[in-house]
Amino acid sequence: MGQHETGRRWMGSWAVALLWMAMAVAPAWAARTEPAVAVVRQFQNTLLSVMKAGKSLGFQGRYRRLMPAVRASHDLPYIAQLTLGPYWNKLSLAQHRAFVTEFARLTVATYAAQFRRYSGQAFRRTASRAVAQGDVLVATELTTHGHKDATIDYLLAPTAGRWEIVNIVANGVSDLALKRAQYTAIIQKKGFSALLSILRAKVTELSRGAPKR
Amino acid sequence: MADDHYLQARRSIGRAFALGCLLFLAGCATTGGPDPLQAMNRRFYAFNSGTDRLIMSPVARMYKTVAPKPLRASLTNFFHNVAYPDVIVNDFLQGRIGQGAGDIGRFVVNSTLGLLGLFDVATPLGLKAHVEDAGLTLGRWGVGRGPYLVLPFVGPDTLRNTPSLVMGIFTNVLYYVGNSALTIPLTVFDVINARANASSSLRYVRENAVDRYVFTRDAYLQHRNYLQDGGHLPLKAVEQMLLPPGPAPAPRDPPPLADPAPRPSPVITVPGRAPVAIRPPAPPG
Repeated sequence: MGQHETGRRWMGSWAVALLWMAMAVAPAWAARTEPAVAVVRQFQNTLLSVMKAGKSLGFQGRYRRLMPAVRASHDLPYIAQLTLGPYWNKLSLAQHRAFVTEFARLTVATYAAQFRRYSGQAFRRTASRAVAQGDVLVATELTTHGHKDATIDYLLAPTAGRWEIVNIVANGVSDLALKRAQYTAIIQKKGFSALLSILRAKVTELSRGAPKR
Repeated sequence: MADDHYLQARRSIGRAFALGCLLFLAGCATTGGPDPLQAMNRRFYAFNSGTDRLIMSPVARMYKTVAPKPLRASLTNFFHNVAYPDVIVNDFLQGRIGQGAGDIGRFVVNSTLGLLGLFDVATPLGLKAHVEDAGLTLGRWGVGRGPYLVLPFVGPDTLRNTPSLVMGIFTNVLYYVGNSALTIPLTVFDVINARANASSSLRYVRENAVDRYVFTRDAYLQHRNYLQDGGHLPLKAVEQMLLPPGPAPAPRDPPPLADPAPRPSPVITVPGRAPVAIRPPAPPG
């Protein structure tokens, strides 16, 4: 009985110590990730507001509302660079600029096409933590009427004094990896000009609305 | 992803054909890269896309018009439940005893209180659904993934995952009903219902992909890795993606989440935005 009591006290002391450590560390941890979380929160709020007004805004309206929000929250030049993999260094500065421009248009057009209407969706933030290279991971869930649809993790990096999204991972599928796989495959087969043409055509296709199938 | 059940359902139709192909594929399987059978895979991908466009998509649209959403939701629950013993068996084969016990509870609760699985009453009780199959079990046992495959009528797969095609038959409750007049129409409904459920996911692929084959392959392989890791974010691989590749020549077929070389720091611009140095040091504080 005495031994049991001693064990309980010992565990109790550890619990208090751990709680104290958690309280001491938590504010610092939260302060570290909070600016990055705020970027994600603001972007997701914009997405929701665009969805809610999606029908009346139309594609062009959603595109115009989302362009500044995406530019403010995503490090588009950096993401664009990564999507070209080893081909980036083989291109001229003019080609870099042309690609980043098309990439930005396609990114926004894709959001405008995907978040076209609202039917009870919400974003639930589940966690945030600092990871390698000084980046921050913000884990969220997309829900519809409270039911989880997908896990969406945002990776943010500190760029020019502010936090910007550099990758989005949905249900374990990295958007950056998907784009890189496709873009490098197209460049390899058809060349960089063909890739640019394909991206432009995709934006046009999205602006017209995808055929229902 | 949302396509998990659709893939399972398509399997129930494509099994016979696919299994016939496997003997051939096993002979073709080589190492190096995730997609050594790409030429053949692309042909089967085109075939599957064609059959989907001509047959499955119109049928699914008609089904969505006729069957109201609550009915479709109940049928989805039912088909998910009759296939759920596959998850339970693989839970135990992987040594996930606690998860297996919970999944037995889920199956029993949904089969009884949920009226033969038509209603998912287990999830609100805390008995969450899991995704396990023979491919994930073999992965847990250390078996390599093998080449990526696109099987006719089945869709994306890997060599390691192909035993799921057989195991899924024998672990499905419908197999033991023994009345083909009941099970065949139900299986057809399962496929149609699953295709209808997958409409939004397939639309996502159509809208997002600039190369649908590569998009589907990499999304499938990444998602399987994610499931293999118990639904945890592959953080290391994702972080490595943020390292821009060096001047190395492009691989013939870059694998998903490949390890690139150290990053340079060029300065480029986005129209309407000041020039940005890529990934400068972290801001203070």
